[in-house]
Amino acid sequence: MLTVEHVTKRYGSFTALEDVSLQFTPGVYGLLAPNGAGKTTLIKMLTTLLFPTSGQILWEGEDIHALDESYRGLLGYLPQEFGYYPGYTPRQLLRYAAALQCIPRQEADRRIGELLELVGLSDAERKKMRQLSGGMRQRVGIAQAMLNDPRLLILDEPTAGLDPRERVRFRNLIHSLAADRIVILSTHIVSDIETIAGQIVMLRDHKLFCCDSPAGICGKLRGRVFEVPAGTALEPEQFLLSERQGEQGTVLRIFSDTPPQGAVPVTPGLEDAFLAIYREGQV
Amino acid sequence: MRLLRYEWSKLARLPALWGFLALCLAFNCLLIGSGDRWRWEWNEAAGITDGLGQRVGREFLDGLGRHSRSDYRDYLLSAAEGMTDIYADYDLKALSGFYNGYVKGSPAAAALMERKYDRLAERVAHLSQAGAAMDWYGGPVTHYVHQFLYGTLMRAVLTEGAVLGMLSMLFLLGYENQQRTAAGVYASRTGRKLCRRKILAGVSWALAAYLLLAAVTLGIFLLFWDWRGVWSGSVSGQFNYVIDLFYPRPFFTWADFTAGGYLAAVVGLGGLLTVVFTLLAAICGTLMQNVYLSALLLALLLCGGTAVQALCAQAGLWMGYALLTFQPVSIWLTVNGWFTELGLNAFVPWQETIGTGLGLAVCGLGTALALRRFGRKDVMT
Repeated sequence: MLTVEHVTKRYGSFTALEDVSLQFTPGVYGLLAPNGAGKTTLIKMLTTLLFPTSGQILWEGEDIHALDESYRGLLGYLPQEFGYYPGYTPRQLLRYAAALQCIPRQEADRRIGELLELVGLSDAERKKMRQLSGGMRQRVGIAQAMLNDPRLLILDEPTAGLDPRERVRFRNLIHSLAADRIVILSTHIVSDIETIAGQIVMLRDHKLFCCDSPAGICGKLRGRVFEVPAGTALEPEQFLLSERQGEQGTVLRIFSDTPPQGAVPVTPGLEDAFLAIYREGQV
Repeated sequence: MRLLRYEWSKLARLPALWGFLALCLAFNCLLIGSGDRWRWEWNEAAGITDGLGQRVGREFLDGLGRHSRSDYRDYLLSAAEGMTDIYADYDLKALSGFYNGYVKGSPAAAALMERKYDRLAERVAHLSQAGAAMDWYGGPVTHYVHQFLYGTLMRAVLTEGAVLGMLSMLFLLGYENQQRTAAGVYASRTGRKLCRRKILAGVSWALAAYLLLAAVTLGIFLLFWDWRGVWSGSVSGQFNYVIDLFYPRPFFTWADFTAGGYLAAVVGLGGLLTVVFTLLAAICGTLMQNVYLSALLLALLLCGGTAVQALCAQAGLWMGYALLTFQPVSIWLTVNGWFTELGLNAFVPWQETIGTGLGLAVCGLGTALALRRFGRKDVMT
């Protein structure tokens, strides 16, 4: 179990994250927040790249910095910007990653073959990284993160650069992996996690806003999301979430504590929750 | 070992490094060519004295006399006949008085300088006893060739080795940030400890590059210069002397060095000095994790130290100056006189050896502290 206890991270006078407490047990966690809310800071602290200014992060009750390499050895991490050596082939890059993870050579070769197959890159394993498309490189990054069969898999914006087919395949993959490990998936793309995340962690104003199931988060909005025909004048307390094309033309999806006149109540989705929580100006 | 190989491979994949190495070797070949004005004389002397041994005595003179007559044989014969034990009545007072006079404003520095020349007096007595002055070495052209070999060629090799070492180290330590792989690499099981491997790889690479440069450069030099009968001669032979900006004196060494032993010692110490420079780059690279900022800091350290040393001399702060003569740049500057008393550039016997040893210790400790700090520092990517 991974526990975040009252963690704060400051850079001088700027507080990137304040007093965050969380508990992670096996399953998929979606870390959902707009850019700049502190997602990457939290992830970098979970991966030991950053040290908390106060508070601590525990793995099975022990501080992750004290555990040092034994903690990182069970961690798989795909950074937001997956860097690569342009002159390496995917296999060479994964071999290097295996050496960094201290995986024996033969075991690494076997695992690399499996993972390249899994991410659909077996045919491209001899191409240089610089010759691969963004999506292919991202798939190499995903393979790299899973190289050591991690008990804790942290993926920062993993679907960036993937086409819709690859995204679906990636979601299925994550879902299948989550049975016996913790998967933390940071994103601001709601559809990436809506169907696979058991819990959604939301940050707002650099603090923990909530950690709940998608149904729980959406449930809090029940009776407060409506659809009105396009052109309806909105009151100041009514917040426009999105527009969509309905059968009778364009409809506005709005968030309001009181039902507007002529509005049709709708079942809120995670995207509605995201947009309602992070209304303009709120990070 | 696997990770070490990967770090080496990052360097080996860098065409600029190989290009630089090739340029260095080409430059050294040009340097070897520039010494041609002494080559004929050196090789002629070596040919004429071949088989006569190094110690100039009756046997040597007879042997030289038996050699077929030529103007150059006659010149060598007269030079050999004029040889005397210059150490027997060598008066160090003028030399020591000259340098003591410079530093007398600082009692501590003056005491060190005086002690150095007291020790040198013992060495002069020993050299006289050993008859080192009567060693032929390379004959009348010795000084020029010795200075060419050490002051020009070895200085170039040392400079190139140190520059290659420093650049390679900075490249390796800044590589992950440059390729944007730092987050993935430092969050792996190896984590920040990878920097240790990088430093080990950088140091071994620098040493290998230096030894390669030295081997190829000296190899080419020895192809064209005849050193067959020279290796066993003492470098303190009377044809060898050293001049700094102020004062000419014989090549007083702190131990008995043959020409071969001296070359091996200079190459060996040069290797250690290359490691010192590379470790200095390791400290900057580990602290900054950015190739350009590290290079700037390193340049400031190297040039700043030399500038402060010059300012200390100008201001008469001789103890400060004395301490700064132990810095790597100062030692590098005196490569043509290593293992000698070095005049104003040394305040203790074996200054270059002690300075290099201190440099290794200080830079080694500095590297360990920098690594420790990096281990507790946020990785900003």
